[in-house]
Amino acid sequence: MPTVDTAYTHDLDLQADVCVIGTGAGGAVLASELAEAGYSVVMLEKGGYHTRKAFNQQEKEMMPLLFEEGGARTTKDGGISVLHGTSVGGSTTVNWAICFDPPASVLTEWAEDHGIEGIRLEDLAPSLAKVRRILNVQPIPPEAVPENGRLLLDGARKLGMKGGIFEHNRTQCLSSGFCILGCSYDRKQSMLVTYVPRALHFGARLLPNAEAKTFEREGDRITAVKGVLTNPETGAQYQVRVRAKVFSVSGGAISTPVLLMQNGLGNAQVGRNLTLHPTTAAVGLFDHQVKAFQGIHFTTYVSDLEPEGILLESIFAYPGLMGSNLFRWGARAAETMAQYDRMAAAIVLLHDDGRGEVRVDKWGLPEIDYWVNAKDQAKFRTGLKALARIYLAAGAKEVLLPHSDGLTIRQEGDLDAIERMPIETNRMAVFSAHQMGTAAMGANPEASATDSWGRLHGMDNLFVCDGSLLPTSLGVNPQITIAALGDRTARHLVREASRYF
Amino acid sequence: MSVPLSRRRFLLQALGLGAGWLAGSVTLAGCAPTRYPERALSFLTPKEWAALDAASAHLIPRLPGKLGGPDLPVATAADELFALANPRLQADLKQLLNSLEDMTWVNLRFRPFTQLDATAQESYLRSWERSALGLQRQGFVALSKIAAMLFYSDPRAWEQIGYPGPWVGRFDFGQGLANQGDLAANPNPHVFERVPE
Repeated sequence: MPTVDTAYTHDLDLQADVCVIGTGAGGAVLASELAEAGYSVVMLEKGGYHTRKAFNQQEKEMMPLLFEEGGARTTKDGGISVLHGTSVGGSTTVNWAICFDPPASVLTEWAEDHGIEGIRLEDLAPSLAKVRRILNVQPIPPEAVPENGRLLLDGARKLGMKGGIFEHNRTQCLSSGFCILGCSYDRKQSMLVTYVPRALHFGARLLPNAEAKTFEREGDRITAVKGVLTNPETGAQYQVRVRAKVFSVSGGAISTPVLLMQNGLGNAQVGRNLTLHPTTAAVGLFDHQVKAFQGIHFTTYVSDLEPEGILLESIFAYPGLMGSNLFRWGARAAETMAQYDRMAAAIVLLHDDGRGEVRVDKWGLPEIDYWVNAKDQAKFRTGLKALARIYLAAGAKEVLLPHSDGLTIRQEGDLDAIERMPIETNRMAVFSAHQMGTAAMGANPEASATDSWGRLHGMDNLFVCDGSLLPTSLGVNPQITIAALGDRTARHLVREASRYF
Repeated sequence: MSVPLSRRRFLLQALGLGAGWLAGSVTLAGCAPTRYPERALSFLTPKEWAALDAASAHLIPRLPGKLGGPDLPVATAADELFALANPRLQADLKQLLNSLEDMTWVNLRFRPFTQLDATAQESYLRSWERSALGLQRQGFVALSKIAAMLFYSDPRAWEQIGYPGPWVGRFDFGQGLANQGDLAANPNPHVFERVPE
């Protein structure tokens, strides 16, 4: 029976065929597939190994445990909250379990404009099929859609707009609604309860609380990675060294470029090309109790604006997250929060045109440089107007926009305010739960960080396998795409085994 | 909860460009009452604690019959939380609170934020919120998010917003579940199967 031992008492010096750094959607799948293929695999995970027994559904305790910087990470000017996970399973442990296949048009763009081999939808189909099966991807049953989700669809339909119900990766969901604080019931099929245990089942070894720091190299080959093990009970720290034939950095699009840059690995494209799916939200206030905190938070979407790069998705937030993102304060905020149980909420998620960059600051931490460009600001206005109309059509007495001007929409005539509102840093709530692109695939080493299969340009055996690989913003929730890329990278390594092993 | 500030730039801009924000708009008569932490602090200094405590009274005010920011209190929760944060977050929070307390420019002189009356404190915070300077807005948003996150994630605040709280502790769904935190057991039977191509 696989076990995970974090009671470290001494330094470790390990040898394996493959060392995977990070256990999120990309790294866990890569590790599992290679273990299944018979290779010895060591997984290093910076975060802790936390299971449902620890997931107590309290924001104040789970955010520091499961999110980078306790959920307080932002872009350098504070304009965008950047949410990503830091525990075994990575961001899949704390995501909303929404599943989209990658849009065929985006994959075609990657093939034609970026010269990436084997990336068209038909190429990726076997990987997508396997990932969907292991993650148990299925439609959310209509009866599991709570009123918060229904209000978005009802309003949209009254306006003649199209929408639908998401697919998700949950099994026998209890609809508790605490997905992003770690599923307390193991119903969300995150990497924590699927590909990571699958990797262990096929013989991989997992070291949580193990932060990779430096690489040993001989010419263009990495020979070992060294890091620090922390015993979570005692706080004692030890050295870990893993020698391997192949290495994958899979820490996500924020952490991966930091590790590479700290080690002088990769070309000038590492850290650049950051996309974030910038997201803002609107709250519909209704006369009746919506109780949107009950049930699955993310269930429905409106797709009419998708060709313009805008997705509208129902969502809700626990009290701390809601209160801190209303962009209201004082008595007005308190009076608004007093109506928490009559709120419905949805997001405007952008297929971003803009680009940013990740650098390393003096603390050795990521400095994220990104703000929403003019084209994407126009999408925010379009999306927020559509969302306000939808909620008014659904019967909301008013629609609150999370902006410091305190914008409230009560009728069609109020919508002009959205055109006029300043979209500047720290004037409105903008966040990102999807970070992509900072070690992008591509045929041209001048314009990309890795080759078509995620191997760092100029290196023989160092791969990237996570959201960093995406050369453009995806436009939909990316976990299935990233997981499929993990499967695809594994297939490439097995196919080219004589070259790598 | 976001607090990254460029420390030096914040100081310079707050000093050099922020002068006159409040000139003539506030008075110093009747300082807000000074409060003290109810227990030993882990991370914040008493001065920093007092600045955050005073700000929280405006960010989450006490409405009739309801709790407000100082009731929980938010500043003590921030002290606990940031004691465990990374050095960057810690440095940024200290920078922010010291800037708030030391550099409040009122009637052509600097006055401690905590020694202003309530009206002046609120006006000062509003000037940050509406500032043309991104760094001042950033400081305000950081304060506002810290206060709101820590206040509303506290169970004592839930009754007044109609939030029943987590299922854990209210409902027991533990019985009969396969996985008690053991990676080998999982309700999804496909996890350990080899998948035919």
